[in-house]
Amino acid sequence: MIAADARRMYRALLRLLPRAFRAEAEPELLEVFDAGYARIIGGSRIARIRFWTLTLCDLLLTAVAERAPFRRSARVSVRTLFMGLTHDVRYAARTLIYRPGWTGLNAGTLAVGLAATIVASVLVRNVLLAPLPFPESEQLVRLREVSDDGGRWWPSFPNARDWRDQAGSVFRGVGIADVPRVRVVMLDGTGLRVSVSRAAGGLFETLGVHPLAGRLFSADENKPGGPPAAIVSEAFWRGPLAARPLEDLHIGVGDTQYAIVGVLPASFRFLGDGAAWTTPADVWTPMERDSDLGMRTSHGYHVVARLRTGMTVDRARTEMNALAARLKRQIHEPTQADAVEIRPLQDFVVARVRDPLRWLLYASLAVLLVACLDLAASILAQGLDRTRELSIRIALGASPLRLVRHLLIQATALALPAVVVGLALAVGALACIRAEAAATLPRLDEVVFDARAGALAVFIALGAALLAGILPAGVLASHRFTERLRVRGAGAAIGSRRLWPALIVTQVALSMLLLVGAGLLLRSFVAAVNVDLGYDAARVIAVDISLPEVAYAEPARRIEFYDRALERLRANPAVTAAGLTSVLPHETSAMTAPTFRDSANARSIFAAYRLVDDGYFEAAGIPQVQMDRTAFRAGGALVDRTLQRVLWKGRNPQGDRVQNNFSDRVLTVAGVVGSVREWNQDAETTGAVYVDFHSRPAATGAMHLLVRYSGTEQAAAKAIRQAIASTDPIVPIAMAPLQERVTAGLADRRFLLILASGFGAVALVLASVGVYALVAFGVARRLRESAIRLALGAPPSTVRTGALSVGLLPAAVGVSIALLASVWLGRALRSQLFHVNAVDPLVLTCAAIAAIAAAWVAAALPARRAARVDPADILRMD
Amino acid sequence: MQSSHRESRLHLPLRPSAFAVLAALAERPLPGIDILDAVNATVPGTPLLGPGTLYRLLRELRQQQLITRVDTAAADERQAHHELTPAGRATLRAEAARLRRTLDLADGRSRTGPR
Repeated sequence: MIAADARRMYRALLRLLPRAFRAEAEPELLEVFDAGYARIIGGSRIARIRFWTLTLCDLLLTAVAERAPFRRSARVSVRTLFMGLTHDVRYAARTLIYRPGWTGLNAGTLAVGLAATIVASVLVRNVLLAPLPFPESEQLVRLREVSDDGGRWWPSFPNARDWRDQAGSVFRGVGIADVPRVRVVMLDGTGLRVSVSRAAGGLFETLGVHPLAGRLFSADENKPGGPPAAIVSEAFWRGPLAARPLEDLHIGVGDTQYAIVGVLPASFRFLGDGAAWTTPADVWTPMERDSDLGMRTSHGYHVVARLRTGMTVDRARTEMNALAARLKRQIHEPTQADAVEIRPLQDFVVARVRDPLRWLLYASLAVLLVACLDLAASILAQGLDRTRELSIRIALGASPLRLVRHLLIQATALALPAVVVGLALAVGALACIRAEAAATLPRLDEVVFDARAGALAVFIALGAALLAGILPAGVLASHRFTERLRVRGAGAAIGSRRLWPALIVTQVALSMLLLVGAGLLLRSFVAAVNVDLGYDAARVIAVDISLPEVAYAEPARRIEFYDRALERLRANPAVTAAGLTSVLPHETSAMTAPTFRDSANARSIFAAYRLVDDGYFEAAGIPQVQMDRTAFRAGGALVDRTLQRVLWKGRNPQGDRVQNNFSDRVLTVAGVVGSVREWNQDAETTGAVYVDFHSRPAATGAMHLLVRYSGTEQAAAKAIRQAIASTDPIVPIAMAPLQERVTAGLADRRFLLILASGFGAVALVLASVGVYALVAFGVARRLRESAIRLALGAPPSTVRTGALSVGLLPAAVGVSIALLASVWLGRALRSQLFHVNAVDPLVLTCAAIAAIAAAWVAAALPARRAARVDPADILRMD
Repeated sequence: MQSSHRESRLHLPLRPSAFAVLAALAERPLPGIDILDAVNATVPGTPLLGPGTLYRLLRELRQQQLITRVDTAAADERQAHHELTPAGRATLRAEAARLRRTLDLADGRSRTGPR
């Protein structure tokens, strides 16, 4: 830790001290701290630990001494804190061991709170805060084009290349990469479906990636017509390539044989489809060797850059905007690059999960706080139960400070087993998250449970234990309480009538807030599940087909293949419908382009462009199809209801003309079909233009079959495999139920929902434990009073009601506070909500009922016991 | 001198930590960190004082007018130094004498001896 950080930390810790004291002493304390810290810089680890321990002890001691009502003089020193310490530790250990039930319950409670906080803080640290796994990764930025109308565009290759070549004063390097796509890679005569990407010169150098074996692309290879070279991922090298030596290792991509020159390490991560941060493509080829890199309006490249040392993002933005303006003047080609968006790469990678993770951390802290309050209540109850012992200690001259220390040590001793259990729970939970949330959380593979995480856990545990200990310590060691013990002996002190309800109020309010959050997320999830996607994914299998590029170089052969495969599938009785599409519904990479009616100054909207066959709509279950099949097959286009509504104001567009920028010609509208929700459930419907694939054979290298079946999924899968194999056995396919993709679109929501409801449930259980403990203790304390009242003829129901009210009144107050706070919570959560109001009466009612019910159950058990006592037994005891 | 001597008696006997602080300041004014070092050097093992407890002690000694804060003229050092007041010096001397007598007593060299 550098001195400035250490100083900042110490300064933050000084907040433990009362404000007046701090105002007076802070400069001097900082001076002493600085001087002390300067001495341990470069010293041994032991020296550093010793320094921090002593500093913390000193601070806590001073804080207690300055805040405590018994403050008398400076008659405390660090040494008094350690005097008789071993005795207190031994005593605390004994108390814990002799009461295994009490210890287990409290350590367990704390462990649950700890586990939640550890998981959340490890995720926040590794996913949000830790730098990306590249050298000096804070210099890495992602670039996009910004057009004058505010549109943000993935850069085109020519623009990105100009930035790389002309912005040397801003960037140390600019990397350009393709979005990876699945292609057929030929290896030893077999076709494999492999994700392939292209890297322009300087991509890996910019990122600072070093090859595991071999080398990166040479300048020669990344030139038009350069020697064909490829770099593969470690997984591909160890898997299909069986880790063979790189010399004379070749793979065929398209019609070219590439020599493999290097292997990228398995730890390398890069941008994938959309904003995903994933395992990158298995095969990389040099981008600039190819000639089909598009015009300045052909968007769709990932562009990352490394800022020069000392260059700020703001300055880079200014210089790049100037460069964009200059380029626009010099090059008279249409382009959207009126300005350049520069954003730190890390910021971009984690943007999607920043809010959810932040909420996760807050929720876990709420759970921890509830657990702390449980522990505080428990220690307090135990302390009040031991008033006789405490009064003897005070009578024998134990100072309040010693009492405070005794209680703190007891809390800390509880923290030790709690840390062990909490860590185990956290490791388990992280393993589950790693298995479940791979699609949701980027950088999940970087989440490691290392020594730092362990140290953090211990730190949080000790902090929580001290927090839980300080409250009862403050009450039990308070002047008023000790005086009462001193004067009137053990029987007198019942104590802290105000603190108890406050504990229940806080616990109930916090757990109800968590429930409200979980409820809102649940309603959003249900709304997202029930949203009408515009197609029917049930009982449909999506088959990805990539045709080997050499064997199917001839477009007519591709058309023939698809036609024959479709024909065979439709002939199978297990298949009720089959169709072909270039882009699946709901696919995140669905590309959209400006679409407009073929008339001057027509309004344009973004719409997807799909090559399909006319059986697609039945296979996908898209309703409201009105098409003129003959016109469609003759090269006409189908538009969806969204386009009809926006471009034709709902009128029938049939026979009119439409243009989409993906298509090189103006199309005649041959019909209208229902709209489909692209991207995911949250998105609004975008427009779509459908064109018969027969009319565009050149673009059909990779297509998807949608197969709707009637029998079992296995039978359908078998039928599909047979149909493809009998058409052409060398075509590799991959298939998955279409429903899986729909479900994947809900993964983010499900992840957040599971965690939120888990935390809500845990908090509710912990709060119930707290209410139970407090009410049970209250009842036990007042057993004698109850017995007298029962003996005097009071009906048991009044005793029961009295005991119940001890728990329920504060719970009701807690619920009211939570109701008010949930207005704020709903607003703050708004970005995560979908089709549900920030203040949802149903959610609030359910959460309130759950909270009150939990408190009721927790209070009812001890209340029943109170009403059932036999007065004679109790009164005889005294 | 006589009156300050009498006043200084009010604070006797001094606590070991307070005595150590006054002793540390006997020779010349010191900044907090040096006092801390000097005091903690008097006991082996666990230090007697931390910065917080030292500050509280200094405040108490200041309130008893045994020490006072002085600003040094050193150019780049904003450090506040602490200095013994005449009363502080007298208290220190008185406490030292008291301790010496106690030591003598322990060694059996008391001039008066137990009656």
